[in-house]
Amino acid sequence: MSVLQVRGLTVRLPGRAAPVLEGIDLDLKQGEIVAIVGESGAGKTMLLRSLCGALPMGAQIVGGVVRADGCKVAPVLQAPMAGLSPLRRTGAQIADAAAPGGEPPAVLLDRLGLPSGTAERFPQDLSGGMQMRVALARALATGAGLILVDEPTAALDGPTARSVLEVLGVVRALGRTVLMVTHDPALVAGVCDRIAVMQSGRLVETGTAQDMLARPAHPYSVALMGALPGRARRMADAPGLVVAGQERAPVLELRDVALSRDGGAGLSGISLDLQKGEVLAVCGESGSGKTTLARIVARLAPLSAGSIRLHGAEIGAIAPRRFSTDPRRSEIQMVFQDPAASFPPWQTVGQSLPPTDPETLAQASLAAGLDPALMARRPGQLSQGQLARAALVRAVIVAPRVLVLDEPTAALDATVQAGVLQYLNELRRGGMALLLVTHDLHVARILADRLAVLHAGRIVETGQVAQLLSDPVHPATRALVAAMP
Amino acid sequence: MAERVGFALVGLVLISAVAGPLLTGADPFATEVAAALLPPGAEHPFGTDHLGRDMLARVVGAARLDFGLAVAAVALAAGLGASVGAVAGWFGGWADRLAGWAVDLLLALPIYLLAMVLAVGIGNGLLVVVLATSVVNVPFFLRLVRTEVARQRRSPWVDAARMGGAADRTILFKMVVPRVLPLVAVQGTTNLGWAMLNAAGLSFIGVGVRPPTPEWGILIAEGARYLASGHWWLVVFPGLALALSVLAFHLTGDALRDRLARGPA
Repeated sequence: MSVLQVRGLTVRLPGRAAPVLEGIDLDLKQGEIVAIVGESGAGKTMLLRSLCGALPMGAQIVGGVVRADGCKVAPVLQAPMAGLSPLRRTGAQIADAAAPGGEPPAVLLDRLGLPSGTAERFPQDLSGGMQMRVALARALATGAGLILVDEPTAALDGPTARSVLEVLGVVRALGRTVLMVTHDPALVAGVCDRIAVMQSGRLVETGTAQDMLARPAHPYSVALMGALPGRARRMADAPGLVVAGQERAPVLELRDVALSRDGGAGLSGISLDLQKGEVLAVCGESGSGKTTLARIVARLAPLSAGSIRLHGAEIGAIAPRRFSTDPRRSEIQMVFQDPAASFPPWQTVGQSLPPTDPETLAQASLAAGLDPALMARRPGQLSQGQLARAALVRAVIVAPRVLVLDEPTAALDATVQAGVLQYLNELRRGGMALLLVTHDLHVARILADRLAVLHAGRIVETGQVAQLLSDPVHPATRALVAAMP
Repeated sequence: MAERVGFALVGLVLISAVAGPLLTGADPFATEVAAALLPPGAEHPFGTDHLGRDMLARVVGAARLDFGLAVAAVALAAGLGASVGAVAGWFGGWADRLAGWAVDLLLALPIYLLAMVLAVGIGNGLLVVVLATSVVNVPFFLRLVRTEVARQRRSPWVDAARMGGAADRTILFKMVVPRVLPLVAVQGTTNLGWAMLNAAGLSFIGVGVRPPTPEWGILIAEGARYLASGHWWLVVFPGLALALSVLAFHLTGDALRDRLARGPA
């Protein structure tokens, strides 16, 4: 039975020559899960918004037909908390939205795998994955036959993302139809029936999930699927750089580094070595202390015990405020998770960089795949990918020996990701030591030599990447490996 | 619309404050007992008071003093509040807690009591009005700057600037504080209105400015004695001048705030 029929849908935004959506044809049958994939700016979210009548100001449907035969449509936002009130208990909020005669909130929450008692809790006390399920439960409660889900896994780590996707299977089992938008086709392939690829406002190809992953036909689909981190070839082990077993002084040494915090998750007993030209990945689920560790290593955050040695010299005892004017500051640099926020918005990108002669800067930009002319623009005028590269240039221009990267690819589309990883690999070949903090084991697999797994503020397992991925011992490592899409 | 009214009224207050007596041509101090308590008319548009002084000259002439007092008090409050707020917001911890207590204390302090204590301590005069008014205005600036600086301090670009070797001092004074100053200017404009009201209120109860100096609070206090006998113009015109000035600075402050929010980041 057809639930939704879209024919030739075209949407325009004022001030844009090309339509943001052009000639969209889409059919959804009852009980289907369809994923729309494509890079940011392709128009994925715009399509969802036009289907539930929530187009942004000024956007206009200029052509086409949308038919949802007698079927209610309920959207689920990308950030579930944005649609939930912090003042009311989740059960009450679901009851507010519920159609008469539906199942009680507690039953719905239970169906979606939430622990009993969730209905009595406030949404902000729940984890990101639980919030997403509560938002789904509310969409179910409205009696909607078609549920539109925007990036359900965007902010979630691997295992949590998996569990949310399983819940979408439950939604389908209840006879509902799901149309979701995602930038990660590999992750959702297991749960969805069909995948539609979107490029510049057009649906270029639609097919079953297996076909689209294995045999994409349209050149853009081929490029998109080929750039998926899960498919990318391993770059590590560049010949002649990391010589295993050879006695060399490490560039960076951490011994029993600990951070105690009142009530919050701290770190304890962290010991790590980093050699010249080595990439060490630190992986762990969200909340395991990865970013805290990265900031401590980069000397932006204090530690409560232990030592950090850079070329054998103790730097852990220097207060972070002091270290910024230390001559060794340039030797450890860090690239932050959100490249857009790491540039002051009122300056041009070039002004935020340490003073360098234009020739060196131009060369460094080109090496990072960034047009040097973009340095004269403000951060708001650059794309995420360009900002990520600019952030790398800023860190690399002072020629650090150690580069700390916090989720360097999290905010990036697959094809941009591949380019950034390529650049990082070149830096490593040049002898830089990289500490890569990520929740994405694929990034570690592609780039890293060694992997350390962080769990609840401790390193629970360390080893060569290939070995750890094929033979994980600790339960936390196993959970991470199992969640790899 | 509101924006234009605000700008126009502020313009009027500023012109009165600068040009003052030149505008009316009459001497605000000249008494003429024969012409006492005349209602508004062609010769005296705002009427005359019990000593036959021209009320228009007195109301316009008062603008300079009231505006001057307000500017001095707000400038002092903004300087002090912004400095302490910047330190509290940037360093957090104990500095922040102390500043928080100070704000609570200042907010609980009644301005009239404060002014009277000051008058006893340092002698009654204009300085008392300026100090008392500025003290009650400090919390606004302190809280504004503290919140904004604390927010900026946690943004990733601050960490990025540290990575580039910038000392905290440089980041705070060259990058963060310049971003906060426009907000302080907006807050200051709004508070100018309140400060004029505060200053007039203090003069009304007899702190600071003394008769026969033309000052809105004093004019209202003097006129109030004749209100019961139907001489309404003695209270209404200075009261209107005060009310419109407060409104003017509020409207202008709001307009500036909107422009700031709209304008380039």
